[in-house]
Amino acid sequence: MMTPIVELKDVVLEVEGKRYLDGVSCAFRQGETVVIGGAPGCGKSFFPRLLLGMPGLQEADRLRVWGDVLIEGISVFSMGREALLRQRREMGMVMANGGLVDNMDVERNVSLPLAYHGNNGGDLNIESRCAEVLDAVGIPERQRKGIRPVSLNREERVRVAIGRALVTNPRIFMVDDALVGLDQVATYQLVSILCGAQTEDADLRLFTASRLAPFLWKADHFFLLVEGKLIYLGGSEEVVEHAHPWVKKDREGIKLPI
Amino acid sequence: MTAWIVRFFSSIGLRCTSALTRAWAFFVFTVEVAIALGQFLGRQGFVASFRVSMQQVYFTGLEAMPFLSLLSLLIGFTVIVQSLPQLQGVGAHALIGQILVISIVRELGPLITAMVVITRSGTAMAAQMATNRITGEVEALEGMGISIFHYLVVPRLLGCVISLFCMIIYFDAIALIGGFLVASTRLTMPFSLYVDYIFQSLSTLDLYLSLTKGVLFGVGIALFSCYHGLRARRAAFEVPMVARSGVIQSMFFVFVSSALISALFYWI
Repeated sequence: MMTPIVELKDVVLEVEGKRYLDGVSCAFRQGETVVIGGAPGCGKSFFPRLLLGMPGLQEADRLRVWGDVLIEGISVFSMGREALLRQRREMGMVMANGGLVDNMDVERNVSLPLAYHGNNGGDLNIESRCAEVLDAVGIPERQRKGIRPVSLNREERVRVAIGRALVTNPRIFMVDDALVGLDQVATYQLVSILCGAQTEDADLRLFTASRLAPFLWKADHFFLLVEGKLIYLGGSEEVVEHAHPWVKKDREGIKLPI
Repeated sequence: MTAWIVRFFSSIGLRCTSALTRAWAFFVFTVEVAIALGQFLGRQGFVASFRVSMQQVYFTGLEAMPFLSLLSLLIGFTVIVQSLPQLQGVGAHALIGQILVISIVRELGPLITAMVVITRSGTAMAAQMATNRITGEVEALEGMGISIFHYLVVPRLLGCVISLFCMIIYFDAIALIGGFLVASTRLTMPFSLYVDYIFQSLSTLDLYLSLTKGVLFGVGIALFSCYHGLRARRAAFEVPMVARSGVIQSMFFVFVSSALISALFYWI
């Protein structure tokens, strides 16, 4: 059997004494699109962060992790700083708040990963790749040069953040609950982009979301994080008929915390 | 009574432990910056980081020039205005060069320039770093595989050092011109004689001393500002707190190291 692209082995995660993940084990395989749902604050955002090796972590965060996170069989926790930075270059993540650099305009924000890492000797033109990605995420040309993220609305910032994550053609593409607070039309449009042609070559698409409904028929596997435990819900067909109260409420479009 | 003594000593112990922990964290940060500095040229992302360095030079050095010009002119003017009556009293006009070199080139030039950089750029650096941390930019950069030491800290450190180095030379030159304006009006001293007095008093060691202080202050200001800025965690109210810590420690570092270097100079 093929090695999973990503595997979590009995992961326990605590922040300041509060347990967010409690013995979580799962494996995601080549070409899968996975959605992890859960109420806001349940700890689902730790999944993409664990895969990235917890970027931006400070000692003062008092975070403790047990278990192991493997990417293609290699433990993220055993990687040195440089190896981890190399690993992260092959991943693209859209953060919940966008994480855009405020003193750069839209174009420079999107081109930043390519401008920093270069093309690895390839003949890719950074400007044309940026234009291609920004076209794909629906940012018009007039909003690219000289427009900083603070001048954009929430939906536009999310689109730019998606563009920045896509610009390097990541092997593992992750979105951390970035669609929360957007209207229904924008949400469905963005889900189509996230699961569309721009990411079809990715080895894994991992989305965490406060709502599962927009991802139905777009993703392969759905999980639910409840009180630190990861529950496998199945594919779209199973989610549509699932009896879990949170899933039922989600289907009805009512957001209720567990 | 025993409980009070225990509380007293445990509070001293806690303060010492906390100070040592902070000092160790700063040491680790400095080592990380030194490693990133060593790899700065050869590492991928050099062009992007170099651009940040140049922006820092522009902000710290070039944008401060008008203010620094006025300040240095006034300092040169004031030093001569204060010392000239004393020199005239004993007929020692020739000492004007020595006074300017000792007070401005060796001491005031580096110190006042460092103060300008701390108040303008040190606070800005610390606040920007803290904001980057709070808004998730640091996390996003690291998530993209960008080393924050290579992309955020080292370029600022280099920008700060280059700026301070150039600013000190500029400050000294303008302050000496300020001194000449007074000397020429009060003593009708010709420019050639004034320059002669200056160059007779100015040794290579004076320049080394002044510029060494510049480099050291640049490193210290950038390190303390970035370290405290990156200490911020989640809330906006932390921004002024870390900026204040950065400024206080930078000032402390500048004054103590300036005194030590000057003492070492006279001891040699």
